[in-house]
Amino acid sequence: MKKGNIIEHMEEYKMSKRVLSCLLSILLIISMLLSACTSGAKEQTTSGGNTDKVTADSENSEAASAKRTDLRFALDQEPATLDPNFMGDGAGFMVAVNIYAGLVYITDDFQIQPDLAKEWEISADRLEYTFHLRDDVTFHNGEHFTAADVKYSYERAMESPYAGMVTSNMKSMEAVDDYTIKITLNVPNAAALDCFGSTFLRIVNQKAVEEAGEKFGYNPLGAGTGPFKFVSWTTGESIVLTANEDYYKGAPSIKDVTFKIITDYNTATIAVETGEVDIARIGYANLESVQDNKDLVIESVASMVYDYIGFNTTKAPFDNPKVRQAIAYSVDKNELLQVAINGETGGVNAVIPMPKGGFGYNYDIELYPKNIEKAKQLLLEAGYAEGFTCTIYTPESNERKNSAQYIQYCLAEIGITAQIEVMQQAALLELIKKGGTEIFLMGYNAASADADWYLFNNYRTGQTYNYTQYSNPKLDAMLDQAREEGDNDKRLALYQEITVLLHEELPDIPSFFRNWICAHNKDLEYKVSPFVRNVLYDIHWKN
Amino acid sequence: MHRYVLKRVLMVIPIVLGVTLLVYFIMDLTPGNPAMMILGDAATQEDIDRVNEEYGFNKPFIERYVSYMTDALQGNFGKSYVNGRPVMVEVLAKFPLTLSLAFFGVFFASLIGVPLGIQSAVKQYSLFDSVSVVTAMLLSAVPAFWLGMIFILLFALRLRWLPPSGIETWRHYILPVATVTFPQAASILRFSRSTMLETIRQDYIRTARAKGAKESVVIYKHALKNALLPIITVIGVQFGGLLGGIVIVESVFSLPGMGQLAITAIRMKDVPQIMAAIIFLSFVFCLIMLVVDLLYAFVDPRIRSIYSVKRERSSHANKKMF
Amino acid sequence: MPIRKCFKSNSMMADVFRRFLKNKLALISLMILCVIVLSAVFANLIVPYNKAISQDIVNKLQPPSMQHWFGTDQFGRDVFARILYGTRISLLIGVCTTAGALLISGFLGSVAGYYGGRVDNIIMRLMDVLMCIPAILLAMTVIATLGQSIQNMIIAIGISQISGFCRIIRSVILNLKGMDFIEAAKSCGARDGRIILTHIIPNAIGPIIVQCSMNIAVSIIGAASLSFIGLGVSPPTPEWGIMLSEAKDHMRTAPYLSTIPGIAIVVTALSFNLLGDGLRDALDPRLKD
Repeated sequence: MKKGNIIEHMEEYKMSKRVLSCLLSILLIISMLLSACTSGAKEQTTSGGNTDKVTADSENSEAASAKRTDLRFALDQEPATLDPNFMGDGAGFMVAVNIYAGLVYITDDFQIQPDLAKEWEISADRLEYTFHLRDDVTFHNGEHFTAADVKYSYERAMESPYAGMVTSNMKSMEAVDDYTIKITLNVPNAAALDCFGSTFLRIVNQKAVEEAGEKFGYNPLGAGTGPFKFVSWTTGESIVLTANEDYYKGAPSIKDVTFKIITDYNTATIAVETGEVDIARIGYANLESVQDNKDLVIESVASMVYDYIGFNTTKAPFDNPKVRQAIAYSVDKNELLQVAINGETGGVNAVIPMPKGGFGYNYDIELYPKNIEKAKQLLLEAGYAEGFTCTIYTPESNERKNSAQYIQYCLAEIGITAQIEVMQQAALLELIKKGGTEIFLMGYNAASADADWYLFNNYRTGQTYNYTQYSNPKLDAMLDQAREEGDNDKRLALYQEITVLLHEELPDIPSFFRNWICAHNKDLEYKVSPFVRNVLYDIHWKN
Repeated sequence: MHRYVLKRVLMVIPIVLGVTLLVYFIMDLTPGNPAMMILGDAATQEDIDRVNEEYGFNKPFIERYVSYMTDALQGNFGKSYVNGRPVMVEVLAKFPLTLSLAFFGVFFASLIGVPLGIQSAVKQYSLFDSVSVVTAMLLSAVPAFWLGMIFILLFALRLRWLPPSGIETWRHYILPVATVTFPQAASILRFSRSTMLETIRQDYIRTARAKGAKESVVIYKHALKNALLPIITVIGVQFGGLLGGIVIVESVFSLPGMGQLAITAIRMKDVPQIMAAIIFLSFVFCLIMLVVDLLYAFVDPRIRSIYSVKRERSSHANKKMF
Repeated sequence: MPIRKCFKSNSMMADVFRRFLKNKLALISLMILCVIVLSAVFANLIVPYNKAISQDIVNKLQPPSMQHWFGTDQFGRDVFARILYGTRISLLIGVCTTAGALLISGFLGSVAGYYGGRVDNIIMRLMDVLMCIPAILLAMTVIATLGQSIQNMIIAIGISQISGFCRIIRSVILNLKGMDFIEAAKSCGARDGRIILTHIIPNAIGPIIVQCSMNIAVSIIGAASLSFIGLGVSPPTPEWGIMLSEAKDHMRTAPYLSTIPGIAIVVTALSFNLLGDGLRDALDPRLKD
């Protein structure tokens, strides 16, 4: 029929138009994808012009000639609190070191310098520490600094679950007069002075704390004596500080600091490339893309941040050292390093749970090599020839999540079926402390490279950071003794024994020490600290 | 008319109550002892009993639900299991961002989808029509989060025109809004087109043409007005899917909105927070649908009577739920 | 709706078939779907499952090459193998959720549509409540309660689809109910059961199958979304959503990881959508535009 023909003709016409437009749109999309896809390590590097184009802050392009006084910092994790005495996470440390000061200050080469205390004396029995305080210090809220504030802050710290490792040894304190404070320890401790420089024992102002009440952690206005004052904290976005012009060491050269919270490393890297921030910690994967950028300087330093594979030693089968050793033999440490932090560029393998170069390091111990046969043998001896199932708990950071998947695979090779459970850092810490985990991935950041800081706090029974709940009376005795020992040679010998014991018992498997990698504007004078802290006071703009 | 408005507004109440009951019921099924969750494995029986008393975990379901609702109606949705802060405060703090994304999304999606859809219907069989339809088909098969990733890859990482995440300047809004807009626009386009085509087929259009009215008058005065009503309804219904989609898109761009709140709460098994977030979002969606229904009724009271039938047909377009 | 009486069902099927075959786009999508389904079913003949999960750290993040057609991911796993087995999981989830939702919605929708009155009212109010909660959030809530696993994902996504599906089935039934031939059957004295079985269901199947096809696409995207935010499958399961989530950290160095799984999702979802469209056009050419 004629009509039928027309209709069919129209249908065909429409069909070919449809096919044509189909092809067009697909072509459009493919070209989009291709441009996104053409990869390779080569990338367009930003030229100076581009930087200006995308910079959100237009004032900066004008200020190219005048020296800048502001600083924008990309913070890769949002702090849980800014209350120094109750601080448990690394992100908080980075901001807090600028707001609060302690009696002493530990430099990047592990030297102890006076800070709020001008000088001090240590009694002959090494139990009494008498500090003579500066009399020219005011808190950010105008109150005058006295020994009473030290007492107040230390008493607060004694209530804190995290400061236990420094406060557990403090027996009493006495404010002898307004500018002298005497602190008595329970037992002598070779690393005691380091404690007084830690973040937990930084000084806060009583009036400021009481005024803020419950909100103090989120709004610590006026509470510190450091070179920078707290201004504001917008959750999820930024923390703002401003210079303390009355700082007793002289006003800082940087006047305004904004810590922008950028949790994604890709974003942070781009932010520092485009000039949106001046300093950013960059991910290990991003290192290649910024290496050739002329406007940036990359700093990388071996840090004291240490990652480990922890076992809940109270829960079977992880209460059996043979099982723990078997797992150690199933993992190739070099591959773990690759997976987690991109290999040697990102950090170094940890053989024992403390950094090389710290007092007490044992150079004779070697890495557990990957040896599947040996691992299976050990499992057999432990009575788990059939393997078993378990769960690996990991916080949300990429390095640890990736490590978890790698370890899961290694365990599968020796017959252990592992599930992975990803949790928020805070929730995971809670679970660990309650003894609810099996294998967990965690890290640790110390205020000193001394063996005591790493080994005592992590492996002695009852210590705050002993997350593996490991309890060995023999080890406890040795650790206590090493802590009190005044003779360095004897101390060293003790630590050699301790490290060998830990290497056999393996309450956790040391994984690696990360490098702290930052990219920053080339006009900034900035050095990275192995303590993974940012001392803004030492940062200056050149020209 | 007023009776209808009153009736429709009152209908919201049982629906919202139903939502709260449903959510409460589902969350109640969570295995595990909430007291244990709060206290930990090392808790003694004494501690558990104490917490049970305090929170009322031992009471029967109805009692717990009623007490939850009485508190909720006064604005108290409980405290977070994790940080002890009142959960509604968190919700209200994060909600504005999500809402603004939603509104921008709907606005631009309608701006793009409706005219293009209508024009496609009017110029059926043209190249314009075919390209629109095919692009819309493609976009509706694209998961919003992947679209977001591709945008980041292209516009933020490669071309460096826009920032890849965070939310500070207006520039930061562009990619997330685009990610939410395009799939929505595609779906609106398809529905606008099919509704317009259906409307054009109606007898009264044919009559108008036969009466010698100008084509543009026929289309834009008669057909369009009638086609717009179901289109508006569908846009309102789609808003729910939009809210859901935004929750996912927020995680692609690391935006501190409701999405981040809900996802984190679920990971931490923070039941009060989860409930507050879900109930709040559902409530907002209910309100939007109420507004759309009322708008619809105001514009054409005649349709009110066959309202229930029209709603069925509009759900044909409710394909894009994610 | 096709007003064909049942005793002409043979020629109706033949008509539908003929129209479908003429629709080139639908045919192409059907063929693509066949390839997808076959490759999912026979995946272990193409590539052993081992390759999808075995790690090879030394060769991580390699772009596509002859040894690894789609490259390797951050653990050195072969992306092609992971995409292939991901197809299995996506199809499994898609089909199971739709089947489950169909069973429940089918029952509820038919009852509501056919019997009308109070029953209809109650069921529709229930669906209103369900519809008020955005689908993804409902799925997330269910996962929050039940925990993460593929079964729970199926349950969660299935539940979130019930309200939409139910409405559509109800409207289909309503439309049919109003048709003359039902009245005719009733006046002949046919009982409800017989009417439902011999008249309503055969005529309802068409639009319902169309809707199922669309729903499978939505489920697949939903599953990928849930896995993307970490509430879906657990590692090392190869699933497209989780692959995209892991690819996000390597967008600069390995962009192919971010694009390939997405393309897989789009192709699969689009094919189901086009198939559904094609079926709908074939069933009733009047509805075509």
